[in-house]
Amino acid sequence: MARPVIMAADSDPRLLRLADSDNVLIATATIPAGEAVRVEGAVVRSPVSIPLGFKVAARDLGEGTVAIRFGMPIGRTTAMVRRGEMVHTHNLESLYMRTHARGEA
Amino acid sequence: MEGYLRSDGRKGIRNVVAVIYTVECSHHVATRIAAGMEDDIHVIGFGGCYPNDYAAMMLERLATHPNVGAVLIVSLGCEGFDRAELARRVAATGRPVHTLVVQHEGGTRTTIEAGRAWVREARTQIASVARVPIALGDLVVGTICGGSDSTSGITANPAVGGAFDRLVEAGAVTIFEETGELIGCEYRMAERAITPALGEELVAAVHKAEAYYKVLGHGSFAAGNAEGGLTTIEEKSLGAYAKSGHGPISGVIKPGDIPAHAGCYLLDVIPDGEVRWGFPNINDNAEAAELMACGAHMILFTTGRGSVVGSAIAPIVKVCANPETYDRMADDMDVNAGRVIRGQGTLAEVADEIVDLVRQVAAGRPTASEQMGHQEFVLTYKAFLPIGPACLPLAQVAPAAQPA
Repeated sequence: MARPVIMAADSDPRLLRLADSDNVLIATATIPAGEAVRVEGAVVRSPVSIPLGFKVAARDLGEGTVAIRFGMPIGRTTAMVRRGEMVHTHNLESLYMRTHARGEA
Repeated sequence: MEGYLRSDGRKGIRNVVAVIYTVECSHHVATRIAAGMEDDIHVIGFGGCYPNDYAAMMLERLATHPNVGAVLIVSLGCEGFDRAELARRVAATGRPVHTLVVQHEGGTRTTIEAGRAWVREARTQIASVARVPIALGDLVVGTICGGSDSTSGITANPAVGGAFDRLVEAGAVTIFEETGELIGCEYRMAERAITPALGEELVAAVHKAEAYYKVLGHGSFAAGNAEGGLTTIEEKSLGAYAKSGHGPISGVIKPGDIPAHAGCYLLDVIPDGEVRWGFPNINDNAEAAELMACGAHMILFTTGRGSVVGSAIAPIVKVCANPETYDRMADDMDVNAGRVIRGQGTLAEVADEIVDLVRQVAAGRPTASEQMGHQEFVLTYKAFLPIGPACLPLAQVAPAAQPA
């Protein structure tokens, strides 16, 4: 089948790369805050825990970078995102329409 | 594997009695008729007092769905719904049908009593419906995602896509939907259309959804999607689109259109014309109802966050995308696709497991939601124009959509 599930190169085994052109990686297990994590060759520590399924930057993404997952654009960064930092609603916005969330999200 | 032969040649995988309320005012009476009886009495209906061509078409399609053996119509009496026309259409298929009007029967108690007596007799009558061999190629299988999270597009959705490809190869009809969750995938999807003109219709269906949701000011994106790691509608779409598999797309249909030929179809669920009556589908069960109206015998329902819903009339097969959700809610799930993310299986293995399960459910095996008595049903006001000529290049369909 297409859509191979592959480990990210030179990275923590809990990080998944979904396509060669992706600039975000997926956590396959919850990674606790502060833990040293290898991301594409560099060791980084996230100040927040990264839950299963959440995205981290595979490399530094300047503000306005189009995030790529599964080889497809999924939005544009609204701030500088450092390698290993979580990529989510606080720093990524839709190219189509705004994402609504409950207060706590 | 045997199915129930219906007069239109379709074969059912269940043989239920549908108790149909024709306005919210007779909903309670319908519910009480079915309460405490066997699990094969399913309550569906339309809550609105004012008539709607779409709702009338939907209830006609559902009352004559291959999984339905007999129909009891429960009307209050003064609502706008044309109960006599519904009864005529059901009777024309040879199914036992009966109408109770609460205002004529003398109220709640007498209607419930009369309804229960009729349902008991109808169950006995339909027990002798002819059983005939049924194959995968006789089936219409729909798919929905509900409570999606970031794992949905990695595990359950591509696994269902693999199952869809296998089912179409076996001669089945497969239907995917929710065009508002295909935003961003439209041009890639169009490349799979069997004609260029159909490709343009696929793109147009998604652009209609985008325009509709923009007016509403809210995409098809729930708070829980973000809590599950999905950030944008296009990221959700990318995952949702994977449910459709990789094979050719044979057409664009609208609610009530029943494809007559093997293939994978996109169901356009966005109403035509100006934005009226709110969200296109207010929840997952409204989507399930439309897939059933297109003939779906069962629905492959992928979930990451953990949906527990089932459906009246057509069994829901729950494919769980997230291994942590599966660990927590295994009773509600039929397939653990999340094991792929833990390296405990491949997408191809999960796709094979889903096809096996489709075969077993068609043969009568109850799904998790059926076992727990889930029979949710939702139907709201909508309006559609008939599909255009380019939507079905092979003209394989019995169109149902009524002019708005």
